[in-house]
Amino acid sequence: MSRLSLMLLCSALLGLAPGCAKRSYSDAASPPAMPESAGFSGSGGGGEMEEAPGAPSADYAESKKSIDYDDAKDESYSRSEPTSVTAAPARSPAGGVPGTATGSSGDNRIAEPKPKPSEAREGDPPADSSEAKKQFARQIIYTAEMQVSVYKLEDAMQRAEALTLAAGGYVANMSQGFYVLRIPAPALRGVMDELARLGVVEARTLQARDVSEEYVDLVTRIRVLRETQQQLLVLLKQARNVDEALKVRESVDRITMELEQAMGRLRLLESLIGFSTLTVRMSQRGPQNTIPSSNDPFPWVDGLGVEATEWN
Amino acid sequence: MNHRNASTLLLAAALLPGCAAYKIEPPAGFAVVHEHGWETRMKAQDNVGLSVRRFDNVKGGTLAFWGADLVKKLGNRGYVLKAQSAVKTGNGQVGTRFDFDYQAYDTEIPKFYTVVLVVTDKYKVVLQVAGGREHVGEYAPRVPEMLDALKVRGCKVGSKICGGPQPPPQSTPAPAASAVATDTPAAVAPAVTPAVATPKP
Repeated sequence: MSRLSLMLLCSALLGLAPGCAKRSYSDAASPPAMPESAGFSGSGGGGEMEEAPGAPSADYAESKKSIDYDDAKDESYSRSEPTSVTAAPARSPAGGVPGTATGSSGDNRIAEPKPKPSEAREGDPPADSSEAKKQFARQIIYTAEMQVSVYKLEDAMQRAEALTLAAGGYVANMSQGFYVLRIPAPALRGVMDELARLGVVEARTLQARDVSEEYVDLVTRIRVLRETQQQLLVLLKQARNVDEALKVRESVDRITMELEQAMGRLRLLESLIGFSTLTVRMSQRGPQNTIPSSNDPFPWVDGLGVEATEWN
Repeated sequence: MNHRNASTLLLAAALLPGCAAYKIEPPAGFAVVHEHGWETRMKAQDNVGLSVRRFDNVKGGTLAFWGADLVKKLGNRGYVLKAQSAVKTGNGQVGTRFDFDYQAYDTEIPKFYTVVLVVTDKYKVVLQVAGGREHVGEYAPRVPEMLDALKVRGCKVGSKICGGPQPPPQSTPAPAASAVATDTPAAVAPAVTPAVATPKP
């Protein structure tokens, strides 16, 4: 292949990259493992690569490392299908929760989802309806806030922390009477109910943000970028001189950076989907917590009661 | 300063402490944590609170009127009246004692709350005792002792307010099912219509 045709093919691949979305997910999901002899480990490729093995091969090794790093770190990416969110805010355990996916399977690539019914190929087994449902499940980020007045602030704070840890969450921020908790989404309602029992709930809000579209877009974009990256790497192997290799490498770098950004965004999104953010404000119950009698000509009783008497 | 002015000053000085609506000495086991002219707060070691508050009275404000007002509004806030009785303060002012159970909405923390209302021409004086329900057995019998330490003023000569009739038996709405789930037998009883005891002579 001449240099010109190589460059043209490279440009065409880059130009067509966004249009590759309809290709099989599995193609991108399980890219062929790059053989060590492919010239990325520093052993050199063919042609003129061998004449100047120093800089390019070192770069290629680094490039290989970064690609492997992507694969290894993106454990949440190994989910077999998007998280199923059917009943707010509980999510199907099968959907997996980012942070709990340990990646123990060892396969850190994008897993192949079941084909959509409309895309099912002839001869394929019929798609499981539950799997199909999960594929189309909504991705929702839940954010909740609670304001609770308690009789014993210290005790309530300790209890709130214990509840969070028991639910598999963690304390993201804490100060006197103020908590920002990250709770696994399926456990959010339960934790909120438990927290409500610590005192009197003065205010409670729950917001749901549907990020299904962004999620699907990101997954698709990552798949396409991976495909492009792999194709560029194949081209890189075929480069016959440093000039060719450098030009392809430039494209690989750009794609890698975009891929990294998209995966970072996806990781963040999955973290927000999997772990709901619960902000809790606690205060000690006092006279201010009595329920004022509206339109009462004699509001003197509002200042009486247990809270007013126990107040320090 | 002539003799007449000096006598007036002495008389005014002698009457000055008598202008306070109430006076209370901390009962045994209580210490004052906060004091204003209109309010005195005390706490025991086990976090049981004792407070006395003064409110201005208005024309027509009788013990019966304010007693009914008190019970109705506390009932609206989830307080459950358990008993009602007539009492007297240390200086002989007649009042009404109301004993409540209370469990704040959405909590499982039962409380007891006893309030004594004394109404004079000038003031309404309220003595409150509150704490965890587990302390009710210890503190409810001590309310007469607390009342002995309380002196309430503000009665005019020939007053119809001071020494007026007791409020009729009051009641509060029946608590919600979850609110009565406590460990004390008295608390699981339905809302009562307590009998009014006559004050001690």
